[in-house]
Amino acid sequence: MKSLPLFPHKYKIIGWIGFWPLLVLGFIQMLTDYTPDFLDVRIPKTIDTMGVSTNNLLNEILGLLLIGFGLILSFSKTKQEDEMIMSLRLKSLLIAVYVNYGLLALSMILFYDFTFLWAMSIHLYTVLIIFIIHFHWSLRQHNKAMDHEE
Amino acid sequence: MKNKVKLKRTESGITQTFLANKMGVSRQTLHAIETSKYVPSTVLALKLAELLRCEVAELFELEAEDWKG
Repeated sequence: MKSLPLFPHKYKIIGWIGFWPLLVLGFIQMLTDYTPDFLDVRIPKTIDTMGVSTNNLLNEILGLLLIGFGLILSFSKTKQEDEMIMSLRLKSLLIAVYVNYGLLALSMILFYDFTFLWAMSIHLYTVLIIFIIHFHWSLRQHNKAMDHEE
Repeated sequence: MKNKVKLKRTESGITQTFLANKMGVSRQTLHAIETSKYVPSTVLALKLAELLRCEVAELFELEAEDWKG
């Protein structure tokens, strides 16, 4: 049977170590709007900005790292990846998509202007966050059911 | 779907760990199959039947609710 394209199990720990601290740092950066000067870069002229403008790279760096570590944590194999784990994985992914779009719909109703943009930037990561929480909770329940039997 | 996996396994004197290893699944997954919490794929059902030396139809039995969509 063909298996899903997943990262090797050894990468999972890297995902755990990187994802949660970056999520906290990213949230703090969003709240405080901290922008260190050394990460300022000059942006070349584009259609909508006349002249050269500057951009701080901190949020881009945090965002890219968060996506990378989030994907590694989400899609690294478990110690013994079998078809039941695959079914738990796919179920969690489905739930994550449903919940994410539910939250997105709520944001569309409740938030406007810049608050909506702020909510949207959080929604970039909610699929991964919900998936990670639901999948690891399902795995825990799966293992716990066995422990009770022993 | 009802199944007789646990019955057949204990009759054969095979441990859960041994059978799970032979099938290439975790013990938790085998436990979920035995307690009817998870219905295995055709491949896994055929592996089970071969390892327990019986037919797939002897291991699994459809129930009325399985016919509902």
